[in-house]
Amino acid sequence: MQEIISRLDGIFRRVFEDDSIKVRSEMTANDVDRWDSLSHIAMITAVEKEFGIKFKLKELVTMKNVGDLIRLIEIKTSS
Amino acid sequence: MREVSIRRAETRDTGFVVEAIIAAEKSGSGPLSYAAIFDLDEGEMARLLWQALEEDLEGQEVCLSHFLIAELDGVPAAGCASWIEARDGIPSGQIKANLLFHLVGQNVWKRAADRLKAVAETSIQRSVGAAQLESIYTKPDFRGNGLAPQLIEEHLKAHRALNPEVERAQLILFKNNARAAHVYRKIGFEQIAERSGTHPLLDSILSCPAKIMMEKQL
Repeated sequence: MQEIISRLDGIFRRVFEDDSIKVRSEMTANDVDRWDSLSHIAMITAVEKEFGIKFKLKELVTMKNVGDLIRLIEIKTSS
Repeated sequence: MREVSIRRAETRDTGFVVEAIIAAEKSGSGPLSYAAIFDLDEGEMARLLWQALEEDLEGQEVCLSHFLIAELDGVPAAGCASWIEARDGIPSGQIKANLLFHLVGQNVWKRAADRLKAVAETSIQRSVGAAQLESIYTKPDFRGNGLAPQLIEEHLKAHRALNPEVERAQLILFKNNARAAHVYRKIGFEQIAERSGTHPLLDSILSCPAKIMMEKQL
């Protein structure tokens, strides 16, 4: 999990243009200034590329916070 | 007196709801913003909206089960969508972006990046927990029968009954849509926000580069 978080830190800092971001499980779009609907898609595509995975629509629309994202990455990279 | 009945949209209403979304987006005679953003013709965009409605993803406006339909003498004459913003913690804009990205695919989305950024300049944030009203549309032949206010009131009645914690209703419209703003003012909505964009692409995408949000206390 720590490795996933550390890779997500890099993606979030790049996509949301903020070098001080530290990814937390409970983090949501409300906690990040530049996390809007457009940067959200940029973040998702960057995560898919970084981890070599593909999210389903139903998975994306039930993702409430970064913790949900981390759990999905764990499941998809371990299968 | 013509008989009005209001009911929840069903699968058979998908065509009418697509018409409502397109007409509301065009806001009179303007361009269809979705089509302009993704560089699709209106037919392609209608098919894409149809697919989006088939997904029936709650919490955003392109969701069939969020629509109420007003029938006049048994004919669908008006429609309006409503939902509670971010009730499950996910903003409607994020759900809709996921849905559209899923439907158009990565290449079309990438090509639309500049136009999406332009439109984002006019985006007004909806309040978490507030009832949202969108795609309020009456077919031209049926205008003047007060159908839109009846649909809005029916939505608000349902929200009051099912979600008593909801304190306000909001809607967003183009600033130049004075006729609609007048109707909403008459039923208790007041303007609370305005946002304009200056991006040069906006003129070819939206019927007006400025939007307003109106709100009503429930």
